[in-house]
Amino acid sequence: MNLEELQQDFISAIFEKNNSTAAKHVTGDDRLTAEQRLGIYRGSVHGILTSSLGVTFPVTKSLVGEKFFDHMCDVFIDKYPPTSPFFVKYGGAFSEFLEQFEPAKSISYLSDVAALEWARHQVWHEVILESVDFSEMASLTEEEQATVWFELKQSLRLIESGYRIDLIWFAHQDGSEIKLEDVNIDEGVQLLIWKGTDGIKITQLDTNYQDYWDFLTAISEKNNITQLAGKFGEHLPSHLNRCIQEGWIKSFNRN
Amino acid sequence: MGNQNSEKTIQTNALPTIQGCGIGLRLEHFDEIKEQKPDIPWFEILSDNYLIEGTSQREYLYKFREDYPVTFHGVGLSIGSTDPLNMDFLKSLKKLKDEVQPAWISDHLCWTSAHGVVTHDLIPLPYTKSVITHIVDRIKQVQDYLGEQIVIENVSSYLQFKDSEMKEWDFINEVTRKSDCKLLLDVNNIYVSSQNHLFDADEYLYAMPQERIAEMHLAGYEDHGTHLLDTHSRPVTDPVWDLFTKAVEHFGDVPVLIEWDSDIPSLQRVMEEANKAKAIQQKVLPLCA
Repeated sequence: MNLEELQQDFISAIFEKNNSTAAKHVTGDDRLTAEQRLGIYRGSVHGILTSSLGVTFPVTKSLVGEKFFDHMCDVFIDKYPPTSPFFVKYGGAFSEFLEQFEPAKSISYLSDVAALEWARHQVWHEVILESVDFSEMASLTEEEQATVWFELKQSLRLIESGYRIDLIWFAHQDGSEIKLEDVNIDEGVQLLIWKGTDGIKITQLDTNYQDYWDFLTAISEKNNITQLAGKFGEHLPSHLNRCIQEGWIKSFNRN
Repeated sequence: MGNQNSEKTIQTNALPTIQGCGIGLRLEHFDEIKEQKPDIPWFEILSDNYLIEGTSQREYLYKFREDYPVTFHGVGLSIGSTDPLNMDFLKSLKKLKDEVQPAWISDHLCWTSAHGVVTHDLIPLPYTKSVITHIVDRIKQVQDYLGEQIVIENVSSYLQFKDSEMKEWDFINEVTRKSDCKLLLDVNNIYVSSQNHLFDADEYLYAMPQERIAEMHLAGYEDHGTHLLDTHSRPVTDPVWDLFTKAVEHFGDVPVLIEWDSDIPSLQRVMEEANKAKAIQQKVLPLCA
């Protein structure tokens, strides 16, 4: 017996529905054949992972119903089996998968809702870091300040959608006053998902924070102050101050 | 400039004493435990869920540890895999251990990942001499890296391998003896496997190496007609309580823990199960003295 081959055969049985090879290693009896016994493991693994995806994507699940969600997960799990022992890292490809999953295409916003839920999941599990003391920037020379660039907090994500996925998400929360039938979901939205002191927040940038999407994107692309000034002109100081006050920017660096 | 990240210092009892009947710490009970600080002697934490530094869960654990002794329990070691040990995982586990100071670290006598794919489930091994050699080598590597003995748990299984050369209990004895690790004896898993493979649960139980048993587990299973499934979603069943009673009679005062991982009820309900285990210990142990 070669343990490495046995484990490869087992992985195929669990994630490729190909249990004929693995069955050769297994004893069957009157109650259950070798294939059926392997099927218990396929069912158990898929059950564990489907349950985990249901916790990470509760609104996506609610939108399609449990039965269809389980079916989507079944296909997804075979196509994208986990590769990390860190459970919280599983599901990153779910939104992309749903975009291509033909049976789910009638719900055009489903993939974007899943992306929003994944962003919330990631932000929740991100490291909590204190911001640096930005007053230290005052000690830099003007020349040095010109090359400063900023880092966004890791516990922050930018999501853009052609649908009001924020309202779809809020409408599915307990006690929400938002009714899905009252919402025009066919409007584009730019969202910032971030971890505040009192939980995960979903902030719509394109209404209350005009051009902050472009600003935060420029920061995430490591634009320095000179480049930011070129793009945002007189708004740069106020944008920067607001981002620092909100805790969206973690630190500053120089090239 | 740059990030601020400091070494964590927690006020804990450096070497926590684990005694009596504990329960598994679950997210669903976080708030209640934080507010009420119930009289529970110790908790087992699912260490895999706390390995990422700086997360909210990890911050909770630091505070939690100030009030309760803990043990670590994981599935991510994949001690029986033919893949190389995941050193990133081990490094994270060691860091968490150093910070939180659990009484011990346990994982399972099985494999959970292979060929780069992680099942997050407990897959059994063939019981052969070559597999013993493989497992013993890996347990030793882990123990050397962590700087302490680890505790290995017997798993439930739903199949047996044609190539197995010995009984599961002989396999466990050899692995624990040769690697000099401790044993987490899951009484429910013995019962589940005995029903799935039609062997005598008592024979398995009494063959366990008493001197290596650090902890016992109790949990509930689902009866699927053709087999029992170890789901940790139900109360402990009467046959498992009976087997546990025999275990207490035979092995004496060993810390025991109630696992409840899905369809999780109230904290009070889980504590009732722990109290039932405690009552059995209190009834049986004086008779063994």
